Amino acid sequence: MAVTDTPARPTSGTAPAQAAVRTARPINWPTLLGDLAARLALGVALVFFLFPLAWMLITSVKARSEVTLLPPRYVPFVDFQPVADNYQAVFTKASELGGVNAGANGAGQISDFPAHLFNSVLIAGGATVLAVLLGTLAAYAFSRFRIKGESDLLFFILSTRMLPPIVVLIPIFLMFTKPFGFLEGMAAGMGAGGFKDFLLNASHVSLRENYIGITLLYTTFGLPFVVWMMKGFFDEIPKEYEEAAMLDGYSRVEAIGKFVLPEALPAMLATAVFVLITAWNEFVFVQILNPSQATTVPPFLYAIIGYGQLEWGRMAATSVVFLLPVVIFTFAVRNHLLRGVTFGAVRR
Amino acid sequence: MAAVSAPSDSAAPPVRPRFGRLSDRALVWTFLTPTMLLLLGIAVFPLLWSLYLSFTKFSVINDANTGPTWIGTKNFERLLNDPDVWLRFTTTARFVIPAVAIELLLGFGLALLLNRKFGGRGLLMTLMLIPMMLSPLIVALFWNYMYQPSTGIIDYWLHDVFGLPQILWTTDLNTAMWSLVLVDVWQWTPFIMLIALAGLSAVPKYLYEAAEVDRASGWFKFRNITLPLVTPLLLIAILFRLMDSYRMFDQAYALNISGNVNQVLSVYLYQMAFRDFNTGKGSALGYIMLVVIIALANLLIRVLNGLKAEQV
Amino acid sequence: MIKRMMSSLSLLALAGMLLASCGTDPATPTSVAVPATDTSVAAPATATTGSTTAATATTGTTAATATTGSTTAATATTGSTTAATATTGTTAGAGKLQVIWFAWQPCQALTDLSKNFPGGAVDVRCVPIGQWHDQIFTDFAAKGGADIVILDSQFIGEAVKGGHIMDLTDWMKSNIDVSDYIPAALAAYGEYPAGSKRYYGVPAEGDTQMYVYRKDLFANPAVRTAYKAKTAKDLGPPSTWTELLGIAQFFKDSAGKYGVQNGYTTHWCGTPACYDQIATHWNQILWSFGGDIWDPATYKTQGFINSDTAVKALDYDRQLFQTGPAGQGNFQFNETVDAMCSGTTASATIWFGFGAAFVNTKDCKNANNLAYSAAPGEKVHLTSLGGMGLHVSSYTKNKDSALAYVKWFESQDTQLAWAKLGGFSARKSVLASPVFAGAAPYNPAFAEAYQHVKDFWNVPEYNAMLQTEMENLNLAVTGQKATKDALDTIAKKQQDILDEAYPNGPPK
Repeated sequence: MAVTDTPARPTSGTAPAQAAVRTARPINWPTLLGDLAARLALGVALVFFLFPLAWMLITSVKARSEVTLLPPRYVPFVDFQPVADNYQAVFTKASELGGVNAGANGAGQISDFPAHLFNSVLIAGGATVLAVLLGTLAAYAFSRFRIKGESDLLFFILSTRMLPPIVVLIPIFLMFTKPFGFLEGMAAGMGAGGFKDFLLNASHVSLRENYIGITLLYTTFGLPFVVWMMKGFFDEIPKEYEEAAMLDGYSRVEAIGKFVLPEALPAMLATAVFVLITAWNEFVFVQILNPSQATTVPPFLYAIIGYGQLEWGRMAATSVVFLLPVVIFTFAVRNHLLRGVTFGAVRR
Repeated sequence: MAAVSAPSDSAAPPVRPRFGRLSDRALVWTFLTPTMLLLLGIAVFPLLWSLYLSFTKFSVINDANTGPTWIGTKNFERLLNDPDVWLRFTTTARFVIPAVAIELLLGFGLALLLNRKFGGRGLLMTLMLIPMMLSPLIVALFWNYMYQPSTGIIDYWLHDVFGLPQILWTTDLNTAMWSLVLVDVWQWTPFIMLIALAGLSAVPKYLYEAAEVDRASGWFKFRNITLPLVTPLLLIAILFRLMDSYRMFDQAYALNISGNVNQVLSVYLYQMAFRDFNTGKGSALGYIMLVVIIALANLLIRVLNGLKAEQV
Repeated sequence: MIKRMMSSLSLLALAGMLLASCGTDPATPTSVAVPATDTSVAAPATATTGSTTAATATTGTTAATATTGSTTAATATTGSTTAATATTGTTAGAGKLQVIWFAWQPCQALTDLSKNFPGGAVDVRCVPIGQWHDQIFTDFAAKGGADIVILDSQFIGEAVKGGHIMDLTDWMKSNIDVSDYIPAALAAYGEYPAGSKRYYGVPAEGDTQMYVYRKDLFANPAVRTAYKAKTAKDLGPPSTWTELLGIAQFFKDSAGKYGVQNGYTTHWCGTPACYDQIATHWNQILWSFGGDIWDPATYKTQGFINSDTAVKALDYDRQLFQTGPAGQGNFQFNETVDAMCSGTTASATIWFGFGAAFVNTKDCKNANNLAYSAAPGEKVHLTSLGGMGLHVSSYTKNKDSALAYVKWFESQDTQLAWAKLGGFSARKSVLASPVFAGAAPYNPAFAEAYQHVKDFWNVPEYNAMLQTEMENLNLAVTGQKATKDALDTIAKKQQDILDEAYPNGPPK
């Protein structure tokens, strides 16, 4: 990689970057050495980035006794006999330990994973749909109408994304525990009656340990991103588009529904991927807010490593299963990803 | 909140009224209100609440019935005079700076390598994106498995095959932080790569062609064409990575590396707030963290704007 | 394209500045308005009528009448009890009892055992050990969570102080056969403050540390001869830590000659996620060496945890550490079990509670080659007290069935069934029964070991004290800090914590 054919090159740049320059630009006279070096660098990098993924897949089909075996076995069927045990353990209680009763067999029982996965789908999916819908509407408003203080509002929206989430964890926890706690104080000042009862009951409502609170929270996490992304997209769709429709007699709402949204759909899907990934993988909030009810997969995954056994195989299998939906969704809309990662700064 | 004026183009011809039709003004309100309410309720209100709590002595498990007690700026004074807190800031810097620097160099380098047509490029790129889709928690747990000395694959290759001295990745105070950095690099380098690739592919080809006519050296082209055009985009990437790694929690929590000297701020804050239940003090630390990241982001944005001015 | 990018960059810049101005400027009207709006929400209890306050007061004193705030409020306004319960989403589903413990075999066993509870379905939650405390107390802070919480003895003070668990003293008089229990267990798992005769829990699982060793190796004639030649002693389970070290070093020095690479390992982990692991391991060595971690009468750690004996005990532990597998510095229970089961290590000490992980070959390759004895002593024989008690949350909405569950669990029949599943009862009659002795290969050792238990500080400040101890012990055994330095740091930090919490000396 360090081989160079250009003399007096400054040494400040990175080796791979320099090596790459020659191959990256449209070269008419590629030097063989430089090309080789670039390929080598690329190869090393690919091993670094892709090997752990491969290793996760391999580990997920290994029997427990082989997971920590050295020298490691790499190739299924050649080096070791792959087993479905770990995947079975994802969905049944087969591998959970029976304690001193070796006879206890949980193979027939369904594990807690499907329930958690269902929660994940419901919560992350719900939050994604909500965030994309609400955010798209807001973005449309920002894009098409002149709103007083529009730029301030947009900055405000963006700024909420910059917060370290751990900072708001404490007040969110307190708020979700008793979001309407103040009603209790109001009720105290009243004589007994139906309305007082209503206030008292309402004051005991909690957003913890249920689907609603966490879904709204993830929605809020996703909103700034959606608003910014979608505003960018709407700015690109000429407003003559729906104005023409409105001239034809459609109301604006109809025009949006019939013409604008279908046009924006691919962008909405791409935006949705990022909201989904964030919500799908979130760990600390769900652990504090929903430890036992409506718990998603990440806290469950964290808990797998327990019980006095190193369940690496089971963990790997669960991770793979848990990763699949996101991967599939992402690949379905991969053409818009670039724009997503840059918060709309890069256009396709 | 926002007052609404007429649609942006008042020149738009009036349309005949239809049944069920919302005025544009009402429409804007309908479209904006849910978003603004959610943001105000779930992002801003808690922030203000924790601002209040940061000036109180309060523990949610001990003072639930008495409520917070106002103690002025005592929390801030104590935190800022606490060497433990400063230690966590240093630690966080020891994580953020190398992580983002390596990600930048590696990601940009990879983008340069990948910025050409070759078979299987699309597949490779999509595979490279998977780390970003994985839960940071899973990534940390899985790397922990690979880091295991004497049973892990990394140790096997470095120690048993290449004969390097054994590295006690997560337990040695000197390497523990690097094991966290490595995890972060693995997961987020593709992010920078992706952005850099976007920048590279946007560089107009004719610029290179013109340079080639002038027989410019490769370095010249890199320095004078590629770099200036990609830099602003890379700076955005850095901005995002800085903010995200500054607040990174899951990986550090799950990797379980040794030593208080290797504990990052967010984990420290979590401990303060949800193990010791120093709610008031934790809120104060949260605010200190917030102010620091805002200051840093501002600084970076200044640099960005400076670069922009340079180019004009 | 670049132009557009630039414009979004300047947007970002502005965003940052806006953030800066609303985040730091205290003079903006929004921030000034904060306290007024917040107090009402942050401290709902202060603003309310007597109903809630009264309810919370009762939880602390007379358990039998203790109720949660919501029910009291609802009863005050007759007729709406159901509505109140229905709208409160914090606790587990109405009727279904929930128990919370940390994830290890006994928790699994409790799940199985609870299937026989006649009072209805029971949901046993097993959370990772690092989250065990945080989870339970977060739920307490939200006035919800599991009906029955299984707390470590250290958590009791903290829970009682905040009024989170019910006082069971009076209830126990008529519902628990107190005379059949080992008094030390009753005290350790329920009494607070120590010696007060007020009980907030009943024993759930007794536990202490055991020595696990490879009986096939210990019986191997070649090994025995070599060991005897080296130490002039017969190889067998050690009765002192010094002897244990000798055995460990023997196997380590044999460098794989007998099929194991390492002599000894244990849960050395000292990070906050590992809760108390290395501390409980080392405390018992210090106690056995004749030292103590503090003086409970004066609340002094200076001169105790950094005494010469303590330095000796830590130096000892450092030697012991060197007989283990490379990179064991963050070993937790799992890795310890794995080291024994996979056959890399000749011996270990671990809680009896993990015994179930060793017994069948499906989970543990070496299951049939393992044998067990009590963890050794030295000058005196003291082993760390483990185990936990059952406590009833003050916030349970199923108080009656929660108490029924506790009563059922503590009954002799259930305790015998518990023993069969691998549980460790604190009832003398159960411990003496043949059922218990035959239930698991390590049970006879348990009965012996449990006579030597000792617990560490039970003050509500234990967690902060524990964290400094954990970190420094780990640094010392892994050779990254001098033992004396480590202990001095612990002593100083712990003393600071105690002095700050008890400026007038120990509570009377």
